[in-house]
Amino acid sequence: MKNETTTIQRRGQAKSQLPTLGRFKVYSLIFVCLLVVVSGFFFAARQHFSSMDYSMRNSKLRKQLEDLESEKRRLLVAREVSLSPAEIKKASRKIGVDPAAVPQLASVNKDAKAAAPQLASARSTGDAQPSYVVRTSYVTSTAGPAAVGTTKPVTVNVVKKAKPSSASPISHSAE
Amino acid sequence: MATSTLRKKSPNSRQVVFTRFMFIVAFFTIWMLGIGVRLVHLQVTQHEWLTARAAIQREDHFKTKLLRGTIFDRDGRMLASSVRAQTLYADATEIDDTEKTAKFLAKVLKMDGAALGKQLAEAKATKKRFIPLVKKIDLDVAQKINKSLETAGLKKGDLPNYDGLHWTEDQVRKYPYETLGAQVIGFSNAEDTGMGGIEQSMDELLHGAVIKKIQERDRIGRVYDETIEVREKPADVVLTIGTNFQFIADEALMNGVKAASAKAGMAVVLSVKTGEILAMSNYPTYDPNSFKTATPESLTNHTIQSTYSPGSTFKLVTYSSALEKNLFRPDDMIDAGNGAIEIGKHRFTDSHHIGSVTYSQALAHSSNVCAIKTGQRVGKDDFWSMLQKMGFGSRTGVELPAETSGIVRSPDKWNGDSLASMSIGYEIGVTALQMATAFATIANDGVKIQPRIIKEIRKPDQQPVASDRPENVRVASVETARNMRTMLRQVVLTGTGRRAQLNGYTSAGKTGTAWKFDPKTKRVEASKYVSSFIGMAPADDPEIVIAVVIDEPQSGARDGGMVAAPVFKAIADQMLPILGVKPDAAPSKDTNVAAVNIPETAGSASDKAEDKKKSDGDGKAQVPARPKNIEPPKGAKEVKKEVKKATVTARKGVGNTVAYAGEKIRSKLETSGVT
Repeated sequence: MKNETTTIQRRGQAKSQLPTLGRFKVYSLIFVCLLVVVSGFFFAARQHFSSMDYSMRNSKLRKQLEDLESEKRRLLVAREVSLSPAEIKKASRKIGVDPAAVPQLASVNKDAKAAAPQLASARSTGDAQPSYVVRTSYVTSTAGPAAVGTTKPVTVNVVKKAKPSSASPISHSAE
Repeated sequence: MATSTLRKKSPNSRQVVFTRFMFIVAFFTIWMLGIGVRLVHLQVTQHEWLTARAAIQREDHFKTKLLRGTIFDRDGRMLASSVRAQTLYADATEIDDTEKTAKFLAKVLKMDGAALGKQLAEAKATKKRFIPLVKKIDLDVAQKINKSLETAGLKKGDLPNYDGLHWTEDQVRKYPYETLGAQVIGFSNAEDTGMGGIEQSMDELLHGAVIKKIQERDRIGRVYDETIEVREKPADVVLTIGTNFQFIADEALMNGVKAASAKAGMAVVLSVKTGEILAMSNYPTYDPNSFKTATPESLTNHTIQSTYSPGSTFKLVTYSSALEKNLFRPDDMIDAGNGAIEIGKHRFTDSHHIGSVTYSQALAHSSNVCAIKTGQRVGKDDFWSMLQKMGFGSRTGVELPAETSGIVRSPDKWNGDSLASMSIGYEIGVTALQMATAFATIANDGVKIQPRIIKEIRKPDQQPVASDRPENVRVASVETARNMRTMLRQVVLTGTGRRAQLNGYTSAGKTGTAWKFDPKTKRVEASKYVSSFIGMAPADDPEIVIAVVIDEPQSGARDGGMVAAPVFKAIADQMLPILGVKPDAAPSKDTNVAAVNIPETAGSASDKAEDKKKSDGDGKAQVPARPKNIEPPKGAKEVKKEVKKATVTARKGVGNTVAYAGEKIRSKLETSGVT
């Protein structure tokens, strides 16, 4: 009778013929490959989650930046409101200062500050009103007929014929 | 025999093992195949559908608007600015119990619970996902609302932590200076579209583009990726008006209108050299922060949108055209006759008789007769030419919306007395800005400047662009302009405009008092006036032109010299030092001028029957008030008698004029040693 063997049997025989060292090498190679694959997976996962984390932090910072810019804009508007004449008037009334005596605006024009002292000295005698430079309201005493009879010194403006440069009490002498 | 049996058994067991093994392999193979087929089905066949669904789940699409551009004044002050705000809305599909939610919201937000409940129920039925509850509120208020709406135990990706409620980004327009220059700046509506003023005319530049934002969120709503569509940011606009100048003009105008109990008023301040509008005021005004409370009257910028009869201020055109034709010099004499002139069917009169005077005095005393005679000499064609050159009948081109060109009829439509009427400022409708520009032309040595209100436009990441400045046009010769200024100076020194005399500066200008034209009856109304004063300062080399128009003054004297000139003075006195203009005159000793009232006529009647001598002052010499602390000088009683005797009215004839009365008083005062 022939010795008939199956493929499996032949492989089994062949296997049993491999040396022990070879088997170890094969197993260790497989293990190393598996290790590399698994490490790769872990590394990829870590990268993924850190990128997600950075993205979220980035979004938060961007949002924070937008909020800060909004806040800055809001504060600039609030600053302008506080510098507005209406607010200055309210504040002056609160502390009991007459709004008409308050310089109308915090002027950014430095020349105005330089000009004000020079002109402030040119006050009319007997005039109790503050310097015209800071006067904000219409001077009601010049309203004409209503001023008659007041105690404020006024002058009759005499009209002379034909000579524009004639001396008039209120005309400017430079003319 | 046993060996063969054994031999038969081992192949059988191996076979069995092999068979079982193959079964397991087959099972796993089929299983893996099944999984593989499913994977192919999901990743290939259903790829697009699943990708879209994933995108829907993780992506949020937003549309936000870039913040609207800012409007600054000439000094960089913020006149209008948008800030981020939020709008609270409800998504009805996410609300389980609409009634309970409505009650809670009504309590927190102080709204009508029943109405809100009904609204939410309807929205849920129709699957509406956006029901605005509170619009455009500040971020700090939004934070307070978040705290009030906090629901314990609820995990939600966004605020407020309440089912079905969300915030959406919005913006709100703030006007820090409230009523200051409100008509010039305008306002923007709920859709952030400009309405009126610069907000409207520059809406294209100021308007914030809508940008799309795509945010990718995780399971609990944290954003990990964002894509923003890049669009050009809106530009900022810098105006020529200054908040300080505007405030001065607003306050002075308001006080002037109130003092005269007038219906309304307007004022324009123009820089002569550059054409920049330093201030543009209207009263009554409104607060753009709450424009819903504004009236149509207060929303209108009357300085460019409303026309009025200029009255005697239009004599600038009459005399300028005559000077340009070398028809006279300021010191030449002109005879006003008996103070009346008939042209066609109409009789034009002066308020008081001045007889034969110089042209300067004729203008100073605002003689209609002299102006009409001068106009007749100029002629229709030349008068029309000068009128057009000075800009009447056409828009000034200022960068504001809805500017009217005025009401000017072409000469072929004039009547027989139209030239006479127009010579004294009737049969024509002008705007305050047109009048200011005409006066600025004379102030600028005859060169017409283009008024403008935009200084520059600042586009993001670009150099600021100054607004276009068209070439200036010569309208009159330098000599004409200087002569005209000399004549206008006399108006302020000795004429009807004395209340426009400044403290430390010279000024020149013209008063105007015109009866108002009623469009319904198509006639002038003798009981209603438009009083104006348009002037320049300093007189010789003017820096600014100020036009003041007071509509329907009611109390006291109603002519331009009494009502509008003081407003001019109040504005100029404060503005010139700020502009750094050197004083060119000695400061006046007394700014309180109780001048002899030289009334200005309102003009001619529309027909003979209505030819009433209307004047707003009665021509009486103002009796000076004697200070209490000064002892009466000798002869004072005599002086008082003379003053009483010398009291005149404008209706008395030649020989008893104000000038004559004044002369008598002066001589008496001198002889008694008072002056």
